[in-house]
Amino acid sequence: MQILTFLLKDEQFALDIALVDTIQNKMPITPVPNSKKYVIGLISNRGNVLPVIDTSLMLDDTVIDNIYEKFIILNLGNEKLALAVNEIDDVLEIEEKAIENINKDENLSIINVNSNVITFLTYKQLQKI
Amino acid sequence: MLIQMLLLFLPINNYKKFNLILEEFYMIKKLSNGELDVTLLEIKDVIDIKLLQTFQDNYAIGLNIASVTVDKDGTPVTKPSSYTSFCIDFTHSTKAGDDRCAVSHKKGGEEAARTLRPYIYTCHAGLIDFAAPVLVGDYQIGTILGGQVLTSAPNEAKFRKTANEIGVNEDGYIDAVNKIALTNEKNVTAAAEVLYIVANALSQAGYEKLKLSNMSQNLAENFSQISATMEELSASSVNVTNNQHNLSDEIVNVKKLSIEINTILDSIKSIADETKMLGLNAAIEAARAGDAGRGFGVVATEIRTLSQNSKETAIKIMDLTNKIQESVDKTIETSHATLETTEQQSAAIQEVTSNLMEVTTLADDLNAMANNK
Repeated sequence: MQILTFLLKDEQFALDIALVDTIQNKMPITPVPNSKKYVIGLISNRGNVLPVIDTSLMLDDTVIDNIYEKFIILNLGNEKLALAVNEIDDVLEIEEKAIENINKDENLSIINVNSNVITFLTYKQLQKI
Repeated sequence: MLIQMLLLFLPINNYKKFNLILEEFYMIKKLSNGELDVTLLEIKDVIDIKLLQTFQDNYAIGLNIASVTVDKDGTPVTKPSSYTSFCIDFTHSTKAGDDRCAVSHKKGGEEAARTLRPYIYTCHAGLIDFAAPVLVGDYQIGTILGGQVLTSAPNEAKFRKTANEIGVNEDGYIDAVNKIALTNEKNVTAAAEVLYIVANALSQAGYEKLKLSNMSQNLAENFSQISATMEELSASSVNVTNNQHNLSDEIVNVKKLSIEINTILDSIKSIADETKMLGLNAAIEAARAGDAGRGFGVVATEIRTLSQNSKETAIKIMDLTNKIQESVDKTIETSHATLETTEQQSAAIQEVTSNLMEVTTLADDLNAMANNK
């Protein structure tokens, strides 16, 4: 399978490329009042209005004021959303069995690629948003 | 040599002054080191001939003794004073007589030159003559010849014989010799001594004056040369300062250019970033197409590699341009220090030049005073 890797601060994350619709540079975000705190606002993408997720905030409350440069537009079933990230890294080909689920409750998975440990965001984790 | 002098003097002195110096140059011969060459001195260089003539004329009338001054070659430089009719109208009137006189004068002159003292002798015709050397130091520049007197009554027979030998009228010759003043030898010696003392006092004074004027002239010339050299130095130091200014400006231009290059590199980097995004999107599209997209996936990877290379190259160039800017900054610093130094030098040279101008003016004044100009 192929994965898309990206950076939040200096940390490497990955997700299944099958979930990715497209990637793009950051664009102006329209804030939404009374939304979940990791939802930064809305953007318009190819005629659809999508929520933008503060990925750091979603994964770890301690990271604040991260300056995002890129958006990863995800296709989760019927729903599309944008993950705001610092940098898109690469597209890698991995074995599916390389993904290790280390904490079943929180669905935390990692991938070991060339002795780099990458946090893998699963479909289930993303669906919770 | 003259052209060099012209070039050296024209910036400082006006043309008139130059002409005076040129005149001086032709009038008195000098050694190559600018010192006076006593062996080349002429009597007219050290003695005012007009003054000598006046003195000689009055002296001749006063003491009733004829005299003439000749240069070292025997050529008269004064008009004869109170020459006797015996000499002018008779003895010198024939070639034989004139030649005998010349031999006689030469002999007297040589003796005076040898002893460097007045020499009293009897001429070929039997008159008492003297020769007194005119000296500069121990060097003879001319001779005062005089006499044409008798210390005892003339021996008529002897004069008649001479008249025949040189081919003049015997009776006229005797008449003429009888008109010649009679005096005693002591008087002639004293008269010769007076002429000798006065003429040599004049020549010594004249020589000292000449040396002084020559020295002051050398001084003025040297100062003019120094002054001219300093002016050149001053002009070239201004050039150095200007060049340094230009250099600084050029260096600043280099810095501006390297900043422009960095701006271009920034856009190359952002193009590389865009290319990477394109490559990644292409990879996503290829993945979505499954097996059919495999070939396209390879192309997408190539695009990403290419964009990465472009970015790395741009960063390397940027490192280099940053190093250029650092070097330029250091160069500018050095250039400013150099500029400061050259400006100080310029100012110092200008100060020296203006001081020198004053000294040169003083030397010129001194020269003018010494040369009565």
